[in-house]
Amino acid sequence: MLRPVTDALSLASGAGVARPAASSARPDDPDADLVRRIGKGDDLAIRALTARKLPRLTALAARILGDPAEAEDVAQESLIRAWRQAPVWRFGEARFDTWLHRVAVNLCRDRLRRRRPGDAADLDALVDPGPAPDRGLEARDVGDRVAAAMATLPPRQREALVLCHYQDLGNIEAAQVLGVSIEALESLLSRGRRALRAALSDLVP
Amino acid sequence: MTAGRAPLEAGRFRALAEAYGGDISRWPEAERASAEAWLARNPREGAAELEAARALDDLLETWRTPEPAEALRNRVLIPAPAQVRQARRRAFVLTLGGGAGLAAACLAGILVAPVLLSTPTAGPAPSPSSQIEETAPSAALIPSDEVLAEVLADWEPPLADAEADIGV
Repeated sequence: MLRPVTDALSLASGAGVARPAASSARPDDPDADLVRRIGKGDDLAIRALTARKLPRLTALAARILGDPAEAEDVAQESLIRAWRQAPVWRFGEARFDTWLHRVAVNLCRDRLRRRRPGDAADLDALVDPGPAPDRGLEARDVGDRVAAAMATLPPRQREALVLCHYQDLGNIEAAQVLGVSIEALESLLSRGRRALRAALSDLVP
Repeated sequence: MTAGRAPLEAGRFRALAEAYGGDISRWPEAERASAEAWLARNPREGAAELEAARALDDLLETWRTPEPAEALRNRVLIPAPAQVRQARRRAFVLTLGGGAGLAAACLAGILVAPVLLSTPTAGPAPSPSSQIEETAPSAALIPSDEVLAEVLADWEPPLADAEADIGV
């Protein structure tokens, strides 16, 4: 049986998860300095981490939940937990960004579980309304199609794709966030991409 | 998963492209070198796999989400300093902050009780699934004297709390 990627993110779960293997520990955490300073009450570091993480967390939650208002709530709650975590963060066991993604994904899962059948995503609000200089109306239409296709994926496949493609997490980090093995992550990604390719077959050569 | 140093087969190259897309720099770090080597030996087959995967990648890129509004930024920033201070105090109390905290607690143990009772209840309650992210406080990270001063500064006499409870 394949074991999930073990990590420092689940040490307190009481599920008997082992400490991370040396190969998966990430002492080279690019957020470490900011987290250390936040732990000491540095307001500038709080602002810097907010600028760095808020867009990422909002986009993550928007793509998983399909609801921009809920996505904002998830991003806000995730960062509030970051403020509480910073003073007690154990450096070297996991990347802070990976932990933050795990918090946000779990908050998204809680919200998805509470949803009633028929709650639909507001796809119009999900897509950036202003076309970038190199994008026209057609690009926005295609973006709508992609959003709609992603919304039809099973939640785990959607999470895997969002983490690896949009959030640019490595396979080890994404597997840690989802609490699955690398093999399971790859399977989720492959199945998700196959389903998207089928749903968007008129747009993919 | 294929071992990092093992020669890559065509099937594995295809599986990686299907899972991680058409950009080898986004593939698992341990397999990138083997994949590049396989691509160098099989340029036509490899390029076709990457091109097919890249077409879907490009399509996914068209879905962009709005930037966070200023109001959201404020909702995050305004409570932040208080949340950090609260976490420092709670960690200090839970770990007794080393020697200084222990001594203070021994001298005035009852002082800590109201803080213990009131601090964790502030702010939104954690949801069940998010409990797994909480990690144990690390006393080494908390400068004990500074936090002890904050704890004591916030302390109110227990008698006042009792009076408030009974509506005096």
